[in-house]
Amino acid sequence: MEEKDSYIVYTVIVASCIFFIVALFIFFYIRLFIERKKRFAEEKINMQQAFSQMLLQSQIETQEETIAQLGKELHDNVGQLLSSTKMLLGITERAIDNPPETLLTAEETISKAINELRNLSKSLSKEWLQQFDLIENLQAEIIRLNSSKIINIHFSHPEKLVIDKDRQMILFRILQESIQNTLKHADAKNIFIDFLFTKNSLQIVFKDDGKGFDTAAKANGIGIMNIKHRIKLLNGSIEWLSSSTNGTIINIGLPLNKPSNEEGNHRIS
Amino acid sequence: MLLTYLPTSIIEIIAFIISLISLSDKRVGWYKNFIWYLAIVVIIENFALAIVFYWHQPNNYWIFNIFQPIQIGFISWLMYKITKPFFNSKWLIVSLAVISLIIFIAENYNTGFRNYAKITKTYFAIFAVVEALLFYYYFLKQESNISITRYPPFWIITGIFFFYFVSITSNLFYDTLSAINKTKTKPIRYTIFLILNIILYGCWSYAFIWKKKTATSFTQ
Repeated sequence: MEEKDSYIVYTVIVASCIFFIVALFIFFYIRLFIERKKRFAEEKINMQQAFSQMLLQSQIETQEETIAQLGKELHDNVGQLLSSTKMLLGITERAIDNPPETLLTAEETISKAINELRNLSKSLSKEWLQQFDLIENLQAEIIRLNSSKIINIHFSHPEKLVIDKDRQMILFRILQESIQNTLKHADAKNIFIDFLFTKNSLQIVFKDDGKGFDTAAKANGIGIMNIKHRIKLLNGSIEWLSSSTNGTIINIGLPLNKPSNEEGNHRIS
Repeated sequence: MLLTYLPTSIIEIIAFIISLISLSDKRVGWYKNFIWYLAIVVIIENFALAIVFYWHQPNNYWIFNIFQPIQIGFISWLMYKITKPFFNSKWLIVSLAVISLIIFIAENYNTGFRNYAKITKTYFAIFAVVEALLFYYYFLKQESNISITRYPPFWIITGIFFFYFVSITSNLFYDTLSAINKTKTKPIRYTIFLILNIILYGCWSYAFIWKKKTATSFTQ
């Protein structure tokens, strides 16, 4: 009887140990499987991001080329036609003793059109993009918005930005989008934009005193996705911190060297 | 003898205190019910100890039999809540809970309410293991990347899985182990259950702490 009891005790202990080892094996298998799955997903995302960055870069280059071509066409073709028309109107005007008022107005209108066209083709040219200054353009935008009395934007910046013009343009679009988001959704009275230089990076802090938003719910919204795409193109990092009491803070970090193929980081808190 | 049973009671009290600290915030949602369940567990466990060591009654199984339907109900509800996002588990879990309760009623009818419901325990343990394995299967199958370290439902299920899976052998040999304990005071079964309780409540406490962290980290 005693032998049988001992046998059962050992059986229970051994069986429990085997069951425990099996359970442990299942647990570690799940852990390993999930880790591998995570690594695979990360690699996939990295490849996708690298691909979309290349795609974005070429999209922008193509866009710039097209716009520059359009500007050239406007200047060389439409501009020439308008100039010829103006010249013909001038000849007609001199040929008549008392030219009608409408003729004079037409000549004046054509002159205005030529000037507008010159300005437009200038802004579409590559040269204009090469001369683009983020601080100047952002200041002009801020003056325009502050004069509307809807919002008060406080802008603190260094005298000069030592980053490429095309990167300045992308950064300008990001800040423009952020300002638009605040105006549309935040019910804010003030926006504070601070540019801070560290040793190797430019830190931009965008802060509003609005009602905040659910960063988790809006993480895949079109506006945020656009900003993320642009940040990725700049190889930078961005994070949103939002609360109903403290408004929204956007922290943007940009490396000061040329963007490489490394991935940008985005974090929403 | 009391020292043999006391550690389980202490572990349950610790788990209850952790649940109280971690799950008091309303943002933890349905996890709040753990506080009530663990409060019942602590009361039942200590009342069972008091029956034997304070009132010197030889049998305290009836108190565990009162608790058995509560345990079946809570664990099944828990399984449903956790597996719901992964697959349609409602009818399977309800069916297994109903079968467990039918077995429980039949066992009590046959052996009496003052005897340990070991058959119910064994069957319910098998059902809980099946449900836990189904959860693991669908959890691995899903597309999104969830970090298990920070995912409380995973640890809740893991605790349940270890507890019920390893306890099957002890429940199967309940009669012999109980007799050995009485005659030779070798608490084999209690020792196994002590280890399983440490794993179960350890996993649950870890899940409660992470639930509190994840539920309260959003500042909106």
